Amino acid sequence: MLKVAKFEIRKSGKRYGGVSLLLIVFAVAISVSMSYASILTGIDSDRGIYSANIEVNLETFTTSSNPDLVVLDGKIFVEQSDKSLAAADELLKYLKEEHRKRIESEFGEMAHPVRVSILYLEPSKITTEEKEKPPGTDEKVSETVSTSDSALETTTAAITITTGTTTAAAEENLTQEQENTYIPPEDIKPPSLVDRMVLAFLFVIPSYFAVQVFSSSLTEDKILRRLEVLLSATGRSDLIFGKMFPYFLLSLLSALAVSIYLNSILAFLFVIPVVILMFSAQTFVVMISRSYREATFLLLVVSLLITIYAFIPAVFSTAIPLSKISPITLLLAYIHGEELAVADLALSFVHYFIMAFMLLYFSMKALNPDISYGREIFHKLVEISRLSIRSDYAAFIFAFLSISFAFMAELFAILAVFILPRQMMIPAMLISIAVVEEFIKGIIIFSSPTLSRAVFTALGFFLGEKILILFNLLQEYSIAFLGQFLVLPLILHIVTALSIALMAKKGYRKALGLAIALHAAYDYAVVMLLA
Amino acid sequence: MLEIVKKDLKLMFRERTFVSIVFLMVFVAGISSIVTFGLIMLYNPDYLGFYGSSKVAVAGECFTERCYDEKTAMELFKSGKVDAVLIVSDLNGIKYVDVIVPDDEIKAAQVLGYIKKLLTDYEERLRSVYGVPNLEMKVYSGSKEIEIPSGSSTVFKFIYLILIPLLSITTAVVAAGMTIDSVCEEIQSRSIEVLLSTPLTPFKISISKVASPMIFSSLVTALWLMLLALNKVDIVNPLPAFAISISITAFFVSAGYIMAAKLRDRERAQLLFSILAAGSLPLMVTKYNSPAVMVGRIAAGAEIDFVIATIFSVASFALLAASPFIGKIDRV
Repeated sequence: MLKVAKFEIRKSGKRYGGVSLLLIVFAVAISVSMSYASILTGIDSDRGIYSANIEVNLETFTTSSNPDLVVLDGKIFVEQSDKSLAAADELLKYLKEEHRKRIESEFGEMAHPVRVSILYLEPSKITTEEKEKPPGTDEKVSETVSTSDSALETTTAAITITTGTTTAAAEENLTQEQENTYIPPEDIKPPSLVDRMVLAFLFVIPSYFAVQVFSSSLTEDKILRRLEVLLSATGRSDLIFGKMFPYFLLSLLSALAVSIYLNSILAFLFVIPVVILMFSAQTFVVMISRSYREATFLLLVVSLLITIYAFIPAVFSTAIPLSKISPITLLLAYIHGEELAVADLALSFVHYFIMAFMLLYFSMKALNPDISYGREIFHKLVEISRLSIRSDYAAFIFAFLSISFAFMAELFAILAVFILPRQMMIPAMLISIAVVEEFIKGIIIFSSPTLSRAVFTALGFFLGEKILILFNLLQEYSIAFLGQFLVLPLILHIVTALSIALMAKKGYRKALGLAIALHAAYDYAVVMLLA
Repeated sequence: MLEIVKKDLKLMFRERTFVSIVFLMVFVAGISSIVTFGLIMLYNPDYLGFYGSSKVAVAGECFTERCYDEKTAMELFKSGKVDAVLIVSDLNGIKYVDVIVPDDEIKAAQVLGYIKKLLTDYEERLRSVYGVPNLEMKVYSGSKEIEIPSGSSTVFKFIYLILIPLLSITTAVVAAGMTIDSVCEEIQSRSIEVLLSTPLTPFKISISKVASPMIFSSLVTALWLMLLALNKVDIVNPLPAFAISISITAFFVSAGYIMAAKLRDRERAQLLFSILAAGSLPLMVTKYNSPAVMVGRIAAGAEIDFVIATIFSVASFALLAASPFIGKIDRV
């Protein structure tokens, strides 16, 4: 493996030596300064995007003879267009701010007769002793309000503030502190994650370039048929790992550098699953694509999918528990100093590693001229399945492991149906789930379409699904995944698997079509019965 | 010359490039709207008319129906019967409210949306009592008073100032990537030698190498503009929007072509190109005078600097026309 790695480093060294290196360093310098310039100069893309009939002291407004909104006699008149409504929203926001400034200067304290301080407390950790504690010094109390993360201390704070404010001295003290910690209710903001998202991107972005160089180099070796020459000298795994190693190391080092910069050394560990999945998915794509063109597009799509799969859950980490599936969510939580549950860590890391392992395994099997230069991607997949799955037990195991892919695909299905009209959401969801599950099962069964293989595949898949439910992952979506039943889904999986095996002779597409139709019809019937 | 364009275009369609690119566009659009949806849901729950049905217990100064003494309130919170406790104390007429919410981001976000609404209403009531004016600004559509969902402006800006510029840039980047691939493929697989042995001049070969991605991306641009319009996103000036977007593509394709012809190697050209494209992305989506932002602004019917837009478009196409002279593809 090291030999191949050395070879790869020498190859890249030659390619990126001398003038090319200068050129790339120069490009990086330009890029960094452009990004820096954009930060320095700020955003002004929305300058004058709305228009009004009068002058509004706002960057986003201009005056126009055909305005988005008309202000007349202290009223705002709008048209029923998105732009007009958006302009009104923008203007109202501005007026509220101006009004606030005005009443603050005019009425001072009384402008905000309600002040809020938010304390995050774990309900189960509240003890009655704490509550009966006599009020301590208010100074200390207010301090804890503003800085403390500890549940116990904040309890004391919450309680003593309300009970211990009888003396004038205490009152004075309290008001002083309240200036900093108590806010008007309109300023209440749920916990924000956007800044941390940017941080997370810092970890991963350098790896993207390393992955790109790796996949370009691999594609070149494949298309110029160098891989075949190398294969005669070394094993498949040595070949792939050897070529990957230098770039992987580079990604790790860049992530480590960011970790050190952010002063949380272990943070880079969370990036490993994402980077490994990226590397293995790209290897697989290179193996099944025929030309540069095809590779470029598939690589783009795959990187986008993995980025979305890793990052989107992190955006929603305050809204859905499912978001813990992404190591990036956990990374953000780690940087924030939150405690992480071992089960969450295990589930998120393990399912990334399973996918990476399977993709690498398939890539090694795909290192053969039939697959490299064949035509149809679908037939390539069937061929890879034939080469990889040689027994019913293997089919069982692969079906079981492939639940990670099914899960990923189904998460995308959830995201995709989100944009549909409400009445189409559930049917679209059910159909996409049927497509994903039957497609995966079908590819496994086509390795050798016998009845026993079908049953083993169905069992493996069923077991995988149940394990996910065991992790309580799909609880929220159990209606769509129909997770609450045991026997029915098992029968369904076996029936559709058998139909795939039986129909395979008439053509793979027909077989899949039938299974998908059966699956979707079943899901639909059950949902209708439940609803 | 037309033959090469035809061949390149045919390859693009045969290799499902077109399908993957459309997939990509729809995906970018879909995912970005989900992200906005998510962000709005978290920051402006009232945009969706979503207050949830949180239960809160109020202790101290009572301003709602559900009032308790402090101890009971805390016990209700502890046993999970209420989602939050508000402890209100009065100090010279100002109500200090300690809001206790679960130390769990999900629940806290939900319940805080509700509490915000509750306390803002309370604040307005108190202001009227204390003689502090509240902002009375009514919005009318025709003669009917309407409620403007807060967050409309964020969504609007997102669609026209982020999504459309991004779609435009994605199209251009993809077209440039295709140019690099098709030039380098000819050079690296030495099929350029064959092409050069035909009556075609190197100039004609170069022109056809940039022509096919241009045709391809014009189709893609028209497609996403149409898809947006179908999704009820008003495209006020479709033609100028199309023209500026295509100029961006022309600029990127020229850059890609020149890098590929100069470096004669796909790997380096792609890397160089992607570093520069990634670096310029922030500028391209944040600046008033960025051509990508102009595409979105003109689509929204907002003002743009037509002089700059025209100069950019002319310059891009001039660069495209000049690129065969800047980077020549001839014998290896």
